Amino acid sequence: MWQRVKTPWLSKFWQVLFLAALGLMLPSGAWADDVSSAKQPFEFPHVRHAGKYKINCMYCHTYARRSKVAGIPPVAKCIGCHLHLPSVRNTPRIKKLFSYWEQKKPIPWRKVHDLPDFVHFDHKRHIQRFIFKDGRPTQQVCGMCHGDVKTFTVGRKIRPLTMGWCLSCHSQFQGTSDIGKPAPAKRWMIPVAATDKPVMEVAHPQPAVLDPEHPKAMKVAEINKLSERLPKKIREHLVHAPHDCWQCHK
Amino acid sequence: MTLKRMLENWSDYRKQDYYEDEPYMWGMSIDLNKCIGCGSCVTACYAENNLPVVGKEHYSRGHSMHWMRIERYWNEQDGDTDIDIKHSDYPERGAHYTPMMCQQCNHAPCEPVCPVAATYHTPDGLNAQVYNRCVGSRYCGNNCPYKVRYFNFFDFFKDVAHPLEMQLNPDVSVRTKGVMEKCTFCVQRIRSAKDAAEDEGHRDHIEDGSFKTACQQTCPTEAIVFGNLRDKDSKVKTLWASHEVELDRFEQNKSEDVRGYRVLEELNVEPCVMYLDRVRDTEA
Repeated sequence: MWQRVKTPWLSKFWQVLFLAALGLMLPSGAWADDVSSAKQPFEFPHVRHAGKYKINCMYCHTYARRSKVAGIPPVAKCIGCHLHLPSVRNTPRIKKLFSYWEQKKPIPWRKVHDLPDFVHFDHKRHIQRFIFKDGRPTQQVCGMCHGDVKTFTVGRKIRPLTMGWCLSCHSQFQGTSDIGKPAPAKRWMIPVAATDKPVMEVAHPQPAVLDPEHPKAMKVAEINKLSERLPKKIREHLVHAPHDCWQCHK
Repeated sequence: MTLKRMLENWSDYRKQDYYEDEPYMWGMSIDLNKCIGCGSCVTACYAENNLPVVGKEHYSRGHSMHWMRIERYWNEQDGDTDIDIKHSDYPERGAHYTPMMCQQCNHAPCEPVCPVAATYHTPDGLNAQVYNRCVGSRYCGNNCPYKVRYFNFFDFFKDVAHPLEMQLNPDVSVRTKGVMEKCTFCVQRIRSAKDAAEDEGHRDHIEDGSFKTACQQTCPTEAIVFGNLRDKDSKVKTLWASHEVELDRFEQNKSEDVRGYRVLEELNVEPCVMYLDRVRDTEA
């Protein structure tokens, strides 16, 4: 019969080796999807367009309000303004822009906010709900996912854009866009959401309500006490909060 | 967390009429009298849902990926068939056609066996398959009485030549090696119709006929009807009602005038697809 040989020093050794290997891996390749340093053809100054001149995000990313994707503007859109802006005509970036225009080639921008192909995120629903229905400022709404773009030059991915991060909003605010439906219970139950802080401030990466390990999670007794005040139907709704995987994964 | 919550409340999900308050339950009706077996629904499905054309060799090994298939059945050779197949020059003549796709069972045998809850029931009565959650155990496919789940044994779209990847439908994920897939009732069209309905302010009511599934759209004889079974005025519900086909039954009324049935409904899997029996005048 096989007997386990006790070699504590060995297991310790492997543990240390494993951790060391992990530590070496993390900075190099573990965040392979981090394209915050993606090299763009030239540095587009969001800080000037969105920040200084306060151009609406949807002037250039025009499909956001009516399509799944927000869209990158065609070169013609850049030229449409810059033809009439002789003051910056001879700066290096604009020269490069015009060289693409004269070659009749699109600018090969690199995608920064790139979701996996099995994720079907819909810009339209979010824009319609937050900008057109709630009347929030455009830059605040876009900033929920894209960060404070008016301080950037090229776009950078500053939110994790993971499913847990999506759910950190959706487990609280799911259903509030449904006209006539009661606000879901979770909104009451999360201390952060109960205060009227804007969505942008909600920074926890996991749905906090039922995750006992999360520091912001409430104790079970507290949750039960709160949920007893809810109508039965909403209470039952809790157990299957984001209940349709096929909304995004199809 | 979601998965954990889902598994903990699994028995709740399996409860009958758990989603009875939902405004949608998608169903289909296929009239076999109208079906001419042309296979255009199959082609449409290939085009819409990014299905790989696997080729003869893969097909013979059972790697086929057709979410929809036309099954052919011949009458048994007991002497009194309308066509003498044995002595005919065209022995394939006279087949009965049955378009077969995922029946979106309400008591789906595939759902409880999935070890990772990659297949589950959506609130609108669809039998969902979440590709990114699937680990490829193939248990669901083995438990399916209709054999309509297909497994990706290969990355069929991995090295597709350049212009060909442009044909892919961007609304549907391209499945990779090692995941199960099946008919979705064109869920991307359902979701976009729901999206459009929400823009118009009636999220809980999609106008009947405002969208079609790919197979329904292509069917030249309009044998396939798709719609919302919870909507009393929808065309599919009217058909179900006129042929007295009901959910929660394992045998339908088989009297003279009505010809509705659901395939293998005696297994009590509650499929959402109704077939209308083919009627033939064999005496003439």
